[in-house]
Amino acid sequence: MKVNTLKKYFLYLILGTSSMLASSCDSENDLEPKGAYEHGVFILNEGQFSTPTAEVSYLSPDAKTLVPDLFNKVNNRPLGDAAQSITFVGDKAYIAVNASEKIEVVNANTFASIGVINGLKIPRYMAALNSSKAYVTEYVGYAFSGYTGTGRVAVLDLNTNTVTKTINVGLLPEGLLLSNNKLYVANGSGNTISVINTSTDVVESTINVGESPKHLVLDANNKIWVLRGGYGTPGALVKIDPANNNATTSYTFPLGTSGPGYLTINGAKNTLYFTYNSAVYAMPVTATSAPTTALIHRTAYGLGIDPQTNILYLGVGGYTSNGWAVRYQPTGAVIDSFQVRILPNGFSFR
Amino acid sequence: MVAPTWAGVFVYLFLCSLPRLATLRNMVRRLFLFALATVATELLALRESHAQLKDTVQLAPVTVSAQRYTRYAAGSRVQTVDSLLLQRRPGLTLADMLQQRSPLYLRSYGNGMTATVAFRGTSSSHTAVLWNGFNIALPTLGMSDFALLPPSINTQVSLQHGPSGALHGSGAVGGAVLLDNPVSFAPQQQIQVQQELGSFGHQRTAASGSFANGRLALTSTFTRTADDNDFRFENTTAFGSPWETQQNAAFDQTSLAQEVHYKLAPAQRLTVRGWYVKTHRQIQPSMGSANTHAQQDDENLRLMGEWQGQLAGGTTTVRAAYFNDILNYQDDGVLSLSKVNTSQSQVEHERTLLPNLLLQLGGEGQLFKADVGGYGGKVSEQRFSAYGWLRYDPLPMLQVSLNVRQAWVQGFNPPLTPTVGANLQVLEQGGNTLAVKANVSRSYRVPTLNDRFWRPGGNPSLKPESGWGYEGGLVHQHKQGSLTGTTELTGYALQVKDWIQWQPSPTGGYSEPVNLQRVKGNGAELDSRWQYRLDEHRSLSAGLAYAYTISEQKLPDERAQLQNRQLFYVPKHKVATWAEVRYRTWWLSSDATFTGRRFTDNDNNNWLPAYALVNASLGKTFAWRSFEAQLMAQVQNLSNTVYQTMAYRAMPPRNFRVSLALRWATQP
Repeated sequence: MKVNTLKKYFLYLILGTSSMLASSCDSENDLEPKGAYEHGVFILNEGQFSTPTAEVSYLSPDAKTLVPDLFNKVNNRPLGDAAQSITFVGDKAYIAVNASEKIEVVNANTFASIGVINGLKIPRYMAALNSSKAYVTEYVGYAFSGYTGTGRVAVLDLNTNTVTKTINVGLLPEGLLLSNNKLYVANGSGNTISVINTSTDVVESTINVGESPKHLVLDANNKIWVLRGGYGTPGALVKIDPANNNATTSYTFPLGTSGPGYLTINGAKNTLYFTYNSAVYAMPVTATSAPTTALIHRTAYGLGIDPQTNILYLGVGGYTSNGWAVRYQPTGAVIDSFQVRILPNGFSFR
Repeated sequence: MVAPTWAGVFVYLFLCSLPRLATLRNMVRRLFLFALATVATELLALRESHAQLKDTVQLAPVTVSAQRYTRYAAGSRVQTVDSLLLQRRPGLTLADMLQQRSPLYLRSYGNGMTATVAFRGTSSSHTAVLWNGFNIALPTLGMSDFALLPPSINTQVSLQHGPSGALHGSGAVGGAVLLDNPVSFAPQQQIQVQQELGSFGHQRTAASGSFANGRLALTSTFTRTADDNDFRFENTTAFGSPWETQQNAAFDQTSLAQEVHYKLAPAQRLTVRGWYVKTHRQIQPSMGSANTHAQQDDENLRLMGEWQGQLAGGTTTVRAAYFNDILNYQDDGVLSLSKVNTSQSQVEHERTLLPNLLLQLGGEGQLFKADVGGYGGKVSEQRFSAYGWLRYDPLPMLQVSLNVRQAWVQGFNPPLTPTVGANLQVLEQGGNTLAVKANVSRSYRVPTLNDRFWRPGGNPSLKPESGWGYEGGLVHQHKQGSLTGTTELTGYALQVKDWIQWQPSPTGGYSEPVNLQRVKGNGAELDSRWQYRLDEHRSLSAGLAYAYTISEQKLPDERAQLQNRQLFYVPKHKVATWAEVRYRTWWLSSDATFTGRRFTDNDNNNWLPAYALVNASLGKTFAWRSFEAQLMAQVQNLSNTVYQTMAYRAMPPRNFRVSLALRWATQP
């Protein structure tokens, strides 16, 4: 009797010790995965407009495993109609689905659905101040049918998944950027960037940058870059210096070009990558004029750059059929391509 | 809105009271019988629509005009849709009718919403819709929305399965839907009013009247249908799958049709037809898409005149038509206005060269004038075609048709489209006949005005699509005692070249049409209809239509290897069955459809599961002299099936309708 109990005790001791060893070993090397999709490339497929065919495709870090329909696979339902952007905040991912007028919230590591933020109008891009507060642009302000309101930025409470405040900005706000406790919002149908104080959530100034600002990035020198331009006139890259009273410098594109797409920046934050005039361009932040030679002559619906490897990702493809993600070396040499879902419009790296 | 119809009714009553000329009437009757006899001999026995059970009140006698095509359609498959459906439920749209009575797959964006039909695995723009000989597809989109087509009460609806470019012109690549309003001068008067009420705010009012006195024939139909479509559904696309009430899906539709036929001389007739349909629809958003308050207003005015007479030893027909089609769409972010005026004319001459050889020659001209926001200005397009149709019966049991059409379109020329087909009766024994049929047919489709003129993207130099179809089969007919039946089995192969598809432009952020795809298909169709009349009071009729459809294009898979993929929204299997029992003044009818899995994208990533749908109705007729009342109760979606015909467009659950019809009729 006694011997048996003792044996059991020893057995438990051994088991307990070994499992302790195992777990301590894991945490030291950060090997225990929080979920199957903790790291990798997340490709956002917009889907066919007016149908709930938006989807997220997942590429593993070694680029060997592709899950073309991650959201549906994990959650057994479609993501929604016209996904616009995906934003990672801690262990959560927020997917703005503009024609469903919602932000889907998923566990970033498992991609399991954990909530939704409703009460938004055409949500486009999101920026998080911290794990409980974020901003999202609402793409309102079509001049059609006598619209007299303004564009909007919604303030989100990420703990309750609700909209706490709406800030009026210019018409059709698109990209937004948080820097130094200020929120910069590109007013797509105007000529300005709205600057919002994040402690008061009030627009404190506007910066004139020229027609149709769309996207913003921050470089290593804390300068803000804006890609802007209409469809009929040449666009420009505009550099804003927040340290110098928001002084602007324009790098205008040649006459006869048009069609600004997406703007992003490499991991070192010293080279801008953008789509414009049906091609992909690169421009060092130290350049004195806008590039005239394209890096890649290809129309890309989506553009991304891996911050670690500087590999470029282009999203190309049909409005109704599977699109493709094409990978390029930073030099512009093609690496490979793989089939994703309808209209890949963005790449996030985690 | 009821006023015009009632005015029409009064006109009939007035005309009925006029003294009739007995001699003229006799002459007309003789002529009518003559025409009927002529047609009967020329007709393919196979093609003749099977006798249908009639309601208590006698309906107008057999048609002459609807046979315009079928005489030349040897070896192909033309099916008449049960006309009783329309007579019982005037105001029904083609979408409703075809869902219940055909093996076609109806792509409906919701109850009363846009609905299109495709034959043999092609797309909705490969279905020509002809109204009394004129193509009525919207020239901007090149297709017809079947929810916008409530045929008038006396319309005969026929389905041509398979390509028939020579007979039906541009667009008849997969098949054609033929709407014909037969001409009959047989003296009669009839007035009918009907009111239907149902779940989810359904209301339908119909009034119709017809009058004929041997020289003049009039028919008027008025219908108005409205639905709120505020049914409940489970939104499986949203977080937590909440139950929601369908938003923004109400519609109302008013239709007015008028026909006037006048006999100018014993062998000359003048016909004027008008059909006006006004539809206001909120556009039901797909589940998971925000309600953008989309709404669409359609107004379709169709007018045509027709003169037919005996000239130069044959029958000459001259037709002219004018259509005005308005489609205005708007939502929170888009306003799209379009207006198209179409003028068409046709001249045809048909003559009997030999007792067993019939020839028809014709020419057609079309002028489209479009004022569409997306074109950046007014555009116009002219199209012409000439055709010759030959029907030859070398032996009593063999019928051959040989047809050809050549079209000319502003800017390019579609291919010459011939058709050759034959029926051969191989067996006749004890009330059974068995015939073998075969047909080879070419088809074409002219690019739509949107394909050619939309800015940006529109390409005026697109090639027309062209296709070939090959088919063969067996037709069995049984007629013995109280049992009659027809069974038709058809196998086919089909291919379409230069299939136009919109895809992203390589030069900018818009899409453009290109002659991209080649689609190949094959399949089998089984159609069987039976009637058993036990005695005067008891009868049973039933039908079954099955379609097996393979329609594939080559698309790259994830390794960029081309793979055959079934076209989206083409079910491999579809079955439609219906049955009706009549006992004295009662009837009970039911229809059921089974639709197999359908892919919802051409990559075959996603699909809708198979579903079955059942409708049933019970009716009773009360007759009192020349008056008659008909009470009917219907259950739609009896099994409360959750289904979609277009992905994530919720469809109504089980719902109910009751209707009362009052009818007054006299026969001379």
